[in-house]
Amino acid sequence: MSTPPVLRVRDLTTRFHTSHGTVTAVNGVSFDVARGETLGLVGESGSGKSVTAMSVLRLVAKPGRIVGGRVELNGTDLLTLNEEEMRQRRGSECGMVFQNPMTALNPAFSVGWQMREALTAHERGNGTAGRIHAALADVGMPDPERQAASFPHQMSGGMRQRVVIAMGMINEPQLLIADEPTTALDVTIQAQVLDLMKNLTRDHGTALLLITHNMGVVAKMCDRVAVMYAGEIVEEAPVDELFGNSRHPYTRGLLRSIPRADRPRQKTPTLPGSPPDMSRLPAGCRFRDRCVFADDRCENHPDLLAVGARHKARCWKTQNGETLDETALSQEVPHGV
Amino acid sequence: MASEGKTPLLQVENLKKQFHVRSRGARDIRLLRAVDGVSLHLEAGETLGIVGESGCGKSTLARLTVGLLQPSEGRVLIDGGDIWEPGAAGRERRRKFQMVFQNPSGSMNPRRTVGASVAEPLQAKGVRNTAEAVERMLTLVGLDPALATRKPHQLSGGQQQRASIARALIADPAIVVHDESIASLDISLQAQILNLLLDLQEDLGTSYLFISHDLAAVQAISHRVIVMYLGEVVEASAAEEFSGRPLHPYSVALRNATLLPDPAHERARGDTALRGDVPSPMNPPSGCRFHTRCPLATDLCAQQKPLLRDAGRGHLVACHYAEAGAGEVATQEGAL
Amino acid sequence: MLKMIVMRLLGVALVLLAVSALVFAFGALIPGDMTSVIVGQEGATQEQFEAVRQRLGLDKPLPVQYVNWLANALQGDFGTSPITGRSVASDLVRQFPVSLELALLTLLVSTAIGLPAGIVAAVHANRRLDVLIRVTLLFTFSVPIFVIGILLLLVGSRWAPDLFHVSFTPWSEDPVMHVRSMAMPLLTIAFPITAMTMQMTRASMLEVLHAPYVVTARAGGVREKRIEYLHALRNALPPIVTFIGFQLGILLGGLIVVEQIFSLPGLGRGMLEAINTRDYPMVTATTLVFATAFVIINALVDLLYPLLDPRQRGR
Ligand SMILES: Nc1ncnc2c1ncn2[C@@H]1O[C@H](COP(=O)(O)OP(=O)(O)OP(=O)(O)O)[C@@H](O)[C@H]1O
Ligand SMILES: Nc1ncnc2c1ncn2[C@@H]1O[C@H](COP(=O)(O)OP(=O)(O)OP(=O)(O)O)[C@@H](O)[C@H]1O
Ligand code: SF4
Ligand SMILES: [Mg+2]
Ligand SMILES: [Mg+2]
Repeated sequence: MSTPPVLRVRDLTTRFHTSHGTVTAVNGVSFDVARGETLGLVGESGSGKSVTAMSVLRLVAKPGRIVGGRVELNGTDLLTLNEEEMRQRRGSECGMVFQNPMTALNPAFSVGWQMREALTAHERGNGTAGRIHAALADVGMPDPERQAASFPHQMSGGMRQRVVIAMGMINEPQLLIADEPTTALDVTIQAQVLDLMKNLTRDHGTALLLITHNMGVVAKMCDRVAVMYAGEIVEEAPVDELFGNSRHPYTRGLLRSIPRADRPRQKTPTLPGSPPDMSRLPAGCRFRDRCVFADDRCENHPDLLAVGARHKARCWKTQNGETLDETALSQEVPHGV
Repeated sequence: MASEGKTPLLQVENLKKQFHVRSRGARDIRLLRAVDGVSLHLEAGETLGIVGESGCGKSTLARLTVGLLQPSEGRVLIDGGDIWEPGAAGRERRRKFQMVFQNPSGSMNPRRTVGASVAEPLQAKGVRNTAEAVERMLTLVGLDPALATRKPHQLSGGQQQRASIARALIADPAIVVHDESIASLDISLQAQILNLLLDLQEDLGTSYLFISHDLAAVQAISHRVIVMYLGEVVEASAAEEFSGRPLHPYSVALRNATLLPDPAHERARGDTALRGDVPSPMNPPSGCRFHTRCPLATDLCAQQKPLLRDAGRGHLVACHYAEAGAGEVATQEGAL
Repeated sequence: MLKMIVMRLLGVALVLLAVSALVFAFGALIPGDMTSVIVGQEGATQEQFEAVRQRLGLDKPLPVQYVNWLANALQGDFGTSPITGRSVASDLVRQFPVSLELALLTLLVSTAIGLPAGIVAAVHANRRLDVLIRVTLLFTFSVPIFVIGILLLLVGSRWAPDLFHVSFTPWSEDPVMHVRSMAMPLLTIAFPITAMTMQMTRASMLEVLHAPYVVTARAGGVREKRIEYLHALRNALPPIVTFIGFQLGILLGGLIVVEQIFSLPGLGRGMLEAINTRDYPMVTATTLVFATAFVIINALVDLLYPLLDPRQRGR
């Protein structure tokens, strides 16, 4: 890629100081998203996906603080901007779509009012009604004029999520961050919303950072994937490479444990155990306690290193060109503790 | 449905439940048919999966089945006896059920220890010394028995869900009803729990009614599958048969919308979305309730309600054009 | 909407009817009745007693008494006080404006200070400004009204006797003096009410300041002030408005104390005196006025609700 990426994150670190101790929710995370590209961010619950997204827009709330790194949006390091400069970029250069469409819209104002808010936050002047209706039509909303006047509670979940997407896209940002945009939706509605997002980002050349824990969504939507585990990126690869040739034991286990609709009543191999307590992380590789490949080397913390073209993994076993020995996987307990 | 001569363990006959609801701000009360004439049966040691979209009446059906709700019409029979028979007989039958809910933290008393919560159903049966049984059960679901002394909030989500499964199974129920019992868990945990359920069923011979909106999870555990749409059963079939040949266009849509972890397949698929939203159960469409979103719908569908009929090999479907829809699946899902 | 208002008013009428019955029943159930007050406890003959009872209609069955009383009350006739000899209604007409003024001023002041203070406190939650606001206001809240009142009275009369005029002066006599005479009662009662409004506003705001839609607005680049004062406040308002309506109940109790301390000729003081002298018609009538005010305010708040929350509007 010769053009610089729209979003370039380097060594991003975000901490939460709580009464139970300090949690480094995002620990030295680096990734790029290029124009027109979709990067999937996957990982278990609590692995730091949402905090990463919120850190990019500097929206991390109270006990949390970004303690280091760079977040470059179109070449500008957002972490060095003052609050007003940052505000001007939110929504205009980078839009955001949140998980729950039922609560992401303000119940007290009409949909059109809220979309106008998104417009006027970044420009003065009127004549915006047309743009609002056009944006609603863009997301496949029937009868945009009427829908603009209605309130969120008068709409179904799928329609509300369309509104949220329309709001996120209305200023034609170069980057869109979507945090589990379809998790709260029914599968048939999920399919509609995903198709919509795919077409919109393709038509506008928007860079999309898509957070999800649904590997099916990743397969459908993403060009590249970054896998997070316990606050770190443990693997990053183009989507086919990740599904076909993953080089980190966690990714392997994750992919193997997906129940398949086309295989009734067959036991799914599982990933034993549960993710570590983020306030008491083990030394060495964070996946060690659950890893069937672990050996002595894993007592030291591995780095995220290239294991192939555009493919990186954070695992001692796959550095130096080694591959994971699949026979070890068969030793897995069927439902470990 | 039960073709065999003997009575099945659980039989649900033409179950209906209507709620009287008042929409916010409005004065008039309207009838919401949450479950509208559902019949099903469940054999000992069998798993029946129920899938459908949000609001189609799955949870209501579950609550009716276990006797947490009284039906407006229809019967729930266990070993041929009505669970709502007045007196001790009905009460005894309602005890044969246990239920596992979606939210593990919400279903356990936060002030009691995990061990005490797990022991509850046994104590309700009058068993005094439960410590040993609790320990055995926790081990069986893959939990360290030492966790019995903890409070629920000190456990992870997956551990809590295992504990609620232990509680559901401890009193040796005939039937365990799972209402989205794995929906809130991570994929890796879902797989752990699904495997656990399969193992436990093998060991204990428990029957499951497994309710979920996730077709993949339902198929991973069920012997037979039922598809619901707006309070009605639209398809019922053996899981194997269903997975190879879903007949109802809604089942096909559900299947197509269930994404597979296979990038090449997903990219090749293109737009497969169903048009439109799920209609309100307060105002269901005429004729076939699916006709407003169905790619195969004709005038007939809007006028005449299709009945559940046998499309061969005990595969039941309620659609005028089911076989035509199935052809479409074969071409679309050829890759599988 | 119109239908809803009509229904609401009908509801109010029914509630008031029930309240009036209750008030009347209490008056009737209290041991002793007006006769003994009028005739005097001792030395009266049975005949005198009966004569008075007959004149007042107290010999009739209770429901009949109630209907008569209600019919008169609806025409604004609450009878004559056996103690003062004046018509109860005329006393009420004199007392009502004083109390109403004090109540409205209190609500005005407490809302004007408590609402913004609560918003600021919530926005600065757990930072210095928040702590300062809360400590200041909550301190005054934890001190009973009568203590504040007496303290103010002492301080006022000693250090600023010119500023605070202690005895009540009506508007009509001297507007400046009137304002001065109302200042201290107002301060006394407004303190705790302001603290409550602040606390309620803060809690309600805190709830919505973390709502997902606030994060959505922030992620859309909406200015922080606009988020706080428009996006969040609009959603925080309904419970606050309900609460302010509800405060009227507390306010009425407060009026009794404050009017007593500062010798204001309002309903509260009238009520207290009436109770002390067992002036039955006066007590019943004042109670009814209080209850009516309470019911009407709450009905108004209910009518405001759909304006504030679109989800409450009919479709
Ligand atoms: N407000 C907070 N206070 C303390 N810790 C927090 C807070 N928000 C997040 N964390 C911690 O940060 C870590 C990462 O959380 P995050 O929400 O990013 O996870 P996630 O990957 O998005 O998970 P999910 O899939 O459940 O959304 C978690 O371990 C969580 O405990
Ligand atoms: N107690 C109740 N009162 C009124 N309506 C109800 C009640 N319980 C359920 N409903 C309605 O009945 C319908 C079916 O609800 P139900 O909870 O059974 O759906 P579901 O299939 O379990 O959905 P989900 O997947 O969202 O859990 C819904 O429209 C719901 O709003
Ligand atoms: S570094 Fe070791 S423990 Fe970590 S994933 Fe690789 S093999 Fe497993
Ligand atoms: Mg998240
Ligand atoms: Mg449900």
